[in-house]
Amino acid sequence: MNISRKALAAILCSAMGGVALIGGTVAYLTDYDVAANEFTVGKVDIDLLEPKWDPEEHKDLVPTEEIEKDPQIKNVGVNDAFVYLEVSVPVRNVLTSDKDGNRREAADTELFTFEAGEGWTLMQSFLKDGYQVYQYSFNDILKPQDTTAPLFETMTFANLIEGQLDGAQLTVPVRAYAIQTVHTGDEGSTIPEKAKEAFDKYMNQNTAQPGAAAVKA
Amino acid sequence: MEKKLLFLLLFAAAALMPVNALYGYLSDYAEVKNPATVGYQETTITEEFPPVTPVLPEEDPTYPKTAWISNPAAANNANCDAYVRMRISFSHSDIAQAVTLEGLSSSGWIWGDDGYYYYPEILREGENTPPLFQAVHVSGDQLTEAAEKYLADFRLVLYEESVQAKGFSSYREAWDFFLRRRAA
Repeated sequence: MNISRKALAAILCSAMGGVALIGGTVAYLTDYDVAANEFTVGKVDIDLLEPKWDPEEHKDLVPTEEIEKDPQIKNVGVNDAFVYLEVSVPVRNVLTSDKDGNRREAADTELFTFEAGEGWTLMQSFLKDGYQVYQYSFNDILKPQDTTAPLFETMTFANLIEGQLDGAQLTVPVRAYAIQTVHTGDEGSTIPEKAKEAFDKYMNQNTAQPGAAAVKA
Repeated sequence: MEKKLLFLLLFAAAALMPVNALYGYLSDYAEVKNPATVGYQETTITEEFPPVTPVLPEEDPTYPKTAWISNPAAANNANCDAYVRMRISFSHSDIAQAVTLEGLSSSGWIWGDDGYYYYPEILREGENTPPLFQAVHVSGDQLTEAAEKYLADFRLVLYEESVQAKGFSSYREAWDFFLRRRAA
């Protein structure tokens, strides 16, 4: 059978086109791109400072003595934070006298008193393990590199009758806590309200951890 | 298509993740425990009474004797700075009539009209006051015959008290507060 050259060429072209077409039907137009977005995990980090405290000044405490102690928090992290201070004042059953020297009967007495500054809100206070615990929240969101106002500037030693605690070493532990502001205090309308809500989350998260806050018995 | 399928799978996985895994809030804490030591007050009388050869009273003897108050330094520096006062008494009043303490008026101490000599300066931890007197003089002609038999047992008694100096602007203020509290 003679197949003309033209016919043969036509057949070959069709075959090639068919092949090309088959191959061409699966070669979709495509493209791609890559977006590598870097995320840096935030950090809440605080320092607790008492710049006026001088350990050499407090080796012979006398009744009614005012000592310089000024706890404050610095945000050394990268995120805004709600911050808090917890002060534990030792309580002892002791004899005291009033400012004129008149004796009072023995009673459970906080050995130190202080006056909190206006920038802080008292959240709660309770007696625990021989200490009167005070927990305060700072009234502003603490931004990175900012420092709070001191919770107080001085503490006053109780007017003890002598001979009860002579030579005793007393501590007033101060703890600072911080938690991110994002999604921790959404319900309240004021910062103290938001901070209180966030503090509850802090406590829940840090139960039985080194950073645990004191809990009322 | 594959990319869409992959995206759907990832979305489903995120939706099914436990809720708790989304709530590890960033937090931190810090603590300071700065100790303070309660002070106390401990002062003592120190005296120097060199051995002397006894002299008969009629020769009006003068015996060197000094006494002062010390505020000893404590190992933990807990001994407080103080105001101090001292009282002098004699075991026999008839003999006391014949006794004069030399150096009282130049000692730097102040007579308080209440039987006490007051040291007006703060006595810091580790310091001593100047001596209250320098010598004991006996005037033989002031001694009665009846009193002479008590000479061998005659005693000069020194008694001292101290009160914290911190919180007071003067020795008078400190002692007034102390005496009010003691009376209460």
